[in-house]
Amino acid sequence: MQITNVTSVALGVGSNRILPARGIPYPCGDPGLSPAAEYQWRRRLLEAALVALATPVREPTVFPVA
Amino acid sequence: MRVAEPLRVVCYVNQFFAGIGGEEKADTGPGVREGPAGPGLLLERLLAGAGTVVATVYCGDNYMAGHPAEAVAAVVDRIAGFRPDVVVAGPAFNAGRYGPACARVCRAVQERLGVPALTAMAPQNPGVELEGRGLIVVPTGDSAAQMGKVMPKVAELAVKLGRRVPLGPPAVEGYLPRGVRRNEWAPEPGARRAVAMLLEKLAGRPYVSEVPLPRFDRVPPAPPVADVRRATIALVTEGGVVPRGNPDRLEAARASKWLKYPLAGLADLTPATHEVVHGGMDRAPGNADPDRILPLDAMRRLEAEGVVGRLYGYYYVTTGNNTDMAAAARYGREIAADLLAAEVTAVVLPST
Amino acid sequence: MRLELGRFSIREVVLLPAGPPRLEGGILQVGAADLAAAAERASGLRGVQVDLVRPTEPARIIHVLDAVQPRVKVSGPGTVFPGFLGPAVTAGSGRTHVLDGLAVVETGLLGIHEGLIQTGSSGAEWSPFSSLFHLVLTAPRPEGMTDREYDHGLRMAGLQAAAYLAESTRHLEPDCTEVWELGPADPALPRVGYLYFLQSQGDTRDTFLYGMPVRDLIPTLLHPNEILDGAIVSGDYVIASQKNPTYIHQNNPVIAELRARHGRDLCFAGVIVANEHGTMADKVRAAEYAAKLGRLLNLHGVVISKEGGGNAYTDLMLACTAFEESGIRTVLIVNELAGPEGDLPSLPDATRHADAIISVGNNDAVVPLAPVARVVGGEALRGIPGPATAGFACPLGLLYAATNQIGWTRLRAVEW
Repeated sequence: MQITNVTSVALGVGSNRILPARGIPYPCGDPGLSPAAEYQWRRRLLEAALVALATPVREPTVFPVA
Repeated sequence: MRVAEPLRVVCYVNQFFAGIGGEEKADTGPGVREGPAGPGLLLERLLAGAGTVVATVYCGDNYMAGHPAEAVAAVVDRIAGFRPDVVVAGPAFNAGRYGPACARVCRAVQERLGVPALTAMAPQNPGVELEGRGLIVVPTGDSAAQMGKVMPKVAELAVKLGRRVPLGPPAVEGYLPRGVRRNEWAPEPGARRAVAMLLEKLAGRPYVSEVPLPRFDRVPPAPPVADVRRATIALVTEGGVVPRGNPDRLEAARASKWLKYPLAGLADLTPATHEVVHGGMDRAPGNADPDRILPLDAMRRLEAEGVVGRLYGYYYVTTGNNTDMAAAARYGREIAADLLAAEVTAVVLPST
Repeated sequence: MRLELGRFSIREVVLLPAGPPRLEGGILQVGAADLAAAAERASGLRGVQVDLVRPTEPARIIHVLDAVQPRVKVSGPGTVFPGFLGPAVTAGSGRTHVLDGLAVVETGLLGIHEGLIQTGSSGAEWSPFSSLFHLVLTAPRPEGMTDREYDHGLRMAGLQAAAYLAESTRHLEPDCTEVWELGPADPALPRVGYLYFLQSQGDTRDTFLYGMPVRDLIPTLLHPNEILDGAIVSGDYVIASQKNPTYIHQNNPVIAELRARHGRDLCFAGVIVANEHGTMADKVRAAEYAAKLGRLLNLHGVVISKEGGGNAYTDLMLACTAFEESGIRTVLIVNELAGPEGDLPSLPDATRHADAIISVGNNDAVVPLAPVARVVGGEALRGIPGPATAGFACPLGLLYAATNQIGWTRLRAVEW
């Protein structure tokens, strides 16, 4: 599945499982947070990624991050 | 005044237009008749001495569909023997096997023999969408009953192509647009055209957008991972994260390759071990902590906790900045093949 | 708001070693030392070099950063380039003088992309700047100065030089005077606005409104006259062909066209400026907020322009969707990224609402540049080996403003 800030492009090219990142240069990060908080964000993002991988989809779908 | 030599034209047709038979003869293999046959007879009359149909090469539609590479090669070999100045395939109208066959023959003639080629078929014929990119295709109606309407245009373009006369734009010359964008000078500046177009739109008058919208691609979704706790997950990125020093010289833009690097023994990416070479964005956040692009630290943790089966021992990387689209599609296919061979279950693809 | 633009046509520029600028009979005399001194006073830079490049001479200006049209306010509140040359007092009224046919060009090694203007030879036709006279400013970076400080210095040098040159017209009668005043229009005419995207995403990728970088701008309203007086200044040095330099902001052709048709075919209801942000959340906010402003202005239609490429198409498409879903019809102006052969998808992002698009050309087309006799602004082209005067096959992307998306040129791409 794809983690990207520009979800509209991912939807347009047929990427089927999409998670929204918080920025273009840091798809798995958030430099505005403290290092500890950023790591927690990264972890939540990847846990959501695994949920997306285990979910059946019929068409390009943007999944939420809990 | 020197009269030009008549062009040598070779036609490609299917078993029906070659006069061999109908659907029951669709398994016929490649063959040749000297001189024109089927639509070639009308074509030669319309050429009016500018060209001669020296041969007609044919192949059954089923044989073509069933042996695509071999049949096209055999057809092109036979065509080559006649040293044509131009090749005309079809018209295929809306015939779903014949259309793609015509398109494949045209492409092979151009690529292997360097001889110009053209074909004709209905715009909705799958041969246009699947095989027609970059080819000269004259649009036709659905039915062969319209042969008389389309052949004059085919003859006209065949002469131009055979004489290597550069063609004008599709709207003027009468062939299907080939999806190629070319710059030209408009009569008015863009700002003026924009306001004019808006006024047309507001008044409910017709207008024509100057830029086609991209086709929204669809890819059949992969079935879900049955059990993530037993899955092997691989990380793939176009964010240009490479070992420090960029040993294989991955480009900052227009990447010419993808690379595969080991993750064995690594639990975290740092500026000491990795760097970001992607030139289309601010590299500072990724350089300060490459896990922000390739999330190794969190994946290792999830692996240690048994949330995922395991993290695949390599990651794949290229640079997604101004990448040639055809190359990007190829990298995707090649990486996928590598992943399948390694029995990776699923991929997480952080992208910039 | 009523602004008189007094325009002076320059048909020749003479560069002398010294002396104040003098305009007579369409000939502008410029003293290099005085112009350099004016630039240095305003900027803190030293050793500013002034070069003249004529449109007819086979030359190439390289490392181009910003280009500015000489203008000066001769009456009314404030100065041109408010926020830089004077306090951020609302611009756009009174009387401003304009030197037409001349650009002040700042050059330097900032940002990562090369940008050039070719004149007087094959290849010149692609950049709209090649028909102008250029006074090119080059200044060495003082020891220890950061990129940001150097950038600011070059900008002040260019803006001050432009105003200083226009001072030569203060007491002269213009060749012609335009009155910019949007009077009441027939209420039956469609109300049309202009959504003007600016690009401000960090150092050397900034645009300024009344002197402030618009990085965190919430979309806001401007009267077109403010832009004529230099309320928008560019500090954006990304890909040369698709940037909007200060000169183009000052001469915005969408604003000129809407003003020309005001009261006749449409009512020009105003200009909405918005930033092209770096994150999706900020892009969504800007698009939604701009559409709200459009509704408050009771717009029937809007022209939308952008700057730069890549992810800025997403800002444009989000705005298109937000306006169309508000019932406001849109037309977009974009360049295309269709590859050197023109066979790649033109746009990286789109929405089904974007059914009215003006093309300003395929950025990726490659054009031949003839060799030139002289290079100004540097010694060697960035990323291109060989002598800087040589002829070479040049991607349109390097040619200054060649595919600017405000629609200043007649270039477009068509289907083949």
